[in-house]
Amino acid sequence: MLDNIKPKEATAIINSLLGGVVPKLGVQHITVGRAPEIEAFVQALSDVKNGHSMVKFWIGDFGSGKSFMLHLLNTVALKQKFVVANADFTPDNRLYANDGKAVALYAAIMDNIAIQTKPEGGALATLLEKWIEQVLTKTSEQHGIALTDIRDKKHLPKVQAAIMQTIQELTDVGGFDFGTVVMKYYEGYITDDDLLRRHALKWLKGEYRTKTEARQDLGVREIINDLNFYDMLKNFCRLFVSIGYSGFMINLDEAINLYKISTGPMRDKNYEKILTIYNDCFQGKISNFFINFAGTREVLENERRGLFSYQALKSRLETNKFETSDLRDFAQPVIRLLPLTHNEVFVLLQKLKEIFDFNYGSQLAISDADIHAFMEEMFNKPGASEFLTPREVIRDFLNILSLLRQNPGLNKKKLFGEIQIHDERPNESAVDALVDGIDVL
Amino acid sequence: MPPARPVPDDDSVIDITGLFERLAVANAAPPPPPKPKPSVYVESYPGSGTMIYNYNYYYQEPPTLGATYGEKLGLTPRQVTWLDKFYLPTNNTFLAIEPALQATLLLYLAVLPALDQQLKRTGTTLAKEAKALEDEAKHIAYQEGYWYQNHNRGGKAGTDIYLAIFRLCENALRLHYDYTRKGSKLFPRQIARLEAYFQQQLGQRIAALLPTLLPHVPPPGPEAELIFNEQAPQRWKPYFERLTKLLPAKVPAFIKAVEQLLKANARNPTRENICFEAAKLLAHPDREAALRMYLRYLHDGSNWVHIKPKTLPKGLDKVLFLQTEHAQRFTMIVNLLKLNDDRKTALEKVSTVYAVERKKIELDMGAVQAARQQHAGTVELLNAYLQDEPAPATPSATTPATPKKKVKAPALQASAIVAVPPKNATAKATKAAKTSAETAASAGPAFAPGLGLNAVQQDLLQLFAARKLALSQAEVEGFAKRRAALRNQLIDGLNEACYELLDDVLIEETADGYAIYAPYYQKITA
Repeated sequence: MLDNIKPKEATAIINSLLGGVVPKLGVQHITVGRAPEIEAFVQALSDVKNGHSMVKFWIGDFGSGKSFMLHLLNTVALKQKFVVANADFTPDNRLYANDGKAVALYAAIMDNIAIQTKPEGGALATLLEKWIEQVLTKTSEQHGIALTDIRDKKHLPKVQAAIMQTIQELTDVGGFDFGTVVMKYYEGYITDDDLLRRHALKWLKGEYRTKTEARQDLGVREIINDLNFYDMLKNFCRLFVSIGYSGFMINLDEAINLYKISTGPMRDKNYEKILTIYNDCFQGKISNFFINFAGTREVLENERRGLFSYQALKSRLETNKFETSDLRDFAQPVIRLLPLTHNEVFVLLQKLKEIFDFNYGSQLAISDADIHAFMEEMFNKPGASEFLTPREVIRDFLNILSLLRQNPGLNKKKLFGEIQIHDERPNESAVDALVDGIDVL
Repeated sequence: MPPARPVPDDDSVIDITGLFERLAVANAAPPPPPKPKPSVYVESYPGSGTMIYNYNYYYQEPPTLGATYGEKLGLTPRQVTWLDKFYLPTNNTFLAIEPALQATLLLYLAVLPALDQQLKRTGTTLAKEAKALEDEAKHIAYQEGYWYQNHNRGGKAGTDIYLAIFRLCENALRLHYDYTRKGSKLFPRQIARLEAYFQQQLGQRIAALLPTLLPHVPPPGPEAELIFNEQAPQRWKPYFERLTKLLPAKVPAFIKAVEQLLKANARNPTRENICFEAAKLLAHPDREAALRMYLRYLHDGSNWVHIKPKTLPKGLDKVLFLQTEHAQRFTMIVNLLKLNDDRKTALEKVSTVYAVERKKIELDMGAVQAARQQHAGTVELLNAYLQDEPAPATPSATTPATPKKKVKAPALQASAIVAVPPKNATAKATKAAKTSAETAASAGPAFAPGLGLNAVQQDLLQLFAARKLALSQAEVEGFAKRRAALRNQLIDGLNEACYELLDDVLIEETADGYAIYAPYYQKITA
């Protein structure tokens, strides 16, 4: 039975899943077998909304649904008035570096900043303008200037002073330059200087590579770099909260790329940065900040190169020793995503069939026994035990439903028999071998 | 007793008809039982290696080749004379193989008359050339400080020259039989410099004759093959290279040919390498055959105590073992083979590696029901979180909380845009503009109640309506400037105000501007 699904949600679900991506709408209707994880997450979100900060590690093997969970977190957080940013760790993006790779991660985060009305990212300018509006309102009230006059050039010093004061109240490190740049953004708006506004945005996004360039364009002495980008993220978090948002959530996927850093000391420095973030969040040094990391079991548990290779992190992230596969503890920083059981996949396919029928107003003759037969066929395909993922099961199931809807006379069993599954895992063996080789050297 | 052969009257007639026939018949016969090895006397000289003499002939001359093979091969007196020119060189692994020796002798006997005939056409004879070469040999030996005598057969005339011709034949036959071990040098070191002159006088002619004669030499028989392969362990490689052309089209033929090759290499100490190479080549066209070959490689390799067996290349793993179970099953067979040394059983079990075991999926209806209930709970929980929050109030103008304190999130501002006149306009103009805007808004279509749109937002929507619901960035920027608003904030404010009603974004960014989806516009103006 369907739980209050809207037609728009049904369409989004079917269309997106047929394309192999997570739907933008109605994702809750296909979240099967993740009840405790969702409860843990919404609890964490609620805590962050109330001023706490949180770090969560979503750990699971290939196809266990890490990216789906991050997407769900994203959707819920946006609805809950969070500013959300997603970024992937890559060989060129990491938390600590001295060759611009850390600031590259920062730039990726800032580029992907999303809010409810701009869910696809690129919301930094909007947020900045929102905040400037607030400062203008405040300044006009403080100085008894009509809101209609406050944008006048003659009031610019007053507005600038207000911006600086607010920024200094909000920021710990780098506040002066941060405030100066925001002032430049406002100045650009008042003086109709679009270039100045773009320069200011460029600085805030961490896209300046040399101080000289930034000084020429904006008159600031400092730029956002590998060492100070985390402080800037904290500053932004406070700024977003001051605008009225519930908090700042950052989702960092593909943590395997930290694990793959070939030089041990550099890897350790990155893990040290995670430790700093972890401590800041759980020791209350920062408020309304929520950061999620997603990676495979290896990333966490590998004692040689994973997070557990860093003792301070290992002691913090170790599994509750009383936890078993039946008795799970979801309040830990590490949430392990176990693959869906056959029963859960069965329920998911039942739901999808219902949503499909609802969307097309059809009544396809697919019984529970047919779904069972489909599953058996899928799980008996060569390689199924190794690389069959829910994504592929769902896509094939919907493809078959789609064919049956348009060709009611088709033989279901024949269709089930024709399914072929493919290994969609990234080919990493060569890279791993290379990394291992370098490590040995 | 070999059949009698007609002897030609004229020695100048070259007749090699039937010369190799008896050898071919002998080679095709099954290998004779191994004879007991003759007793040998081994004498070592310090620094000069080990020399082996036949003990029986130590104090007397050994029988000549002519005496040994004249009757056996049905040779003419002249051919016997040619054979008697030298003794059979000792310490020669190739000539120690009887069929190889006989083939070499016959080839030598086929070359000589042809060579003699060629020389006669140029006004000389083989005997004359041999004499001239021998004189040159004496001269060279004298220059080198040695007393020259024919080394092979104590002073018999022309021995070294005929032996060199014989060696040329031997070397050609070695190549013909893919017997890659090196042959001996043409002349002893005392007259080594004679080789250049020999090649010039006779060698080049012989080299030209050999290709025409070699095809008449019958292939070595099975016994000879076994010995060749034992003595030249890499001899299988060129043959194997030719076999690869059978793949991927003719897998059974390839396997059959490899089996034959393995049979011919039964005494080859490194025969397992044939299996290994075959396994590599068969991986793509026939996985089971490849695994069988690899098992044979593991089984036939005799020295795994000291040498680690080679593993198949990593790249083939993905071809041979598409699933982890395949690799696991094969590893089990390998382990059993190591344990029991039972090749037959192991080879039989290979067919089970790729056998498809159909798994039954057992569904627990109780667990399914529980999963459904849990899912219903999840949907309910998420619906609560995903439902749209009430429209946020106008932001307060109070100073934001300090970072040291817990930041209390103020309600979000949805419509912070206040309609203001252009920057340099007077207050009066401002008022007039505001009035005008508001009038314009009120004159347009009525927007859904509860949206709380201000005049600027309504004006922008009307501007959209006037431009078929699409505006360029420059147009929106111009509008925002005229109304003293910030472009992004203006769009965002409108989107936020309408989000609850639409459950989606009203104004979407396009490549070069903004657009409103028509049904959404109708919905907000309804």
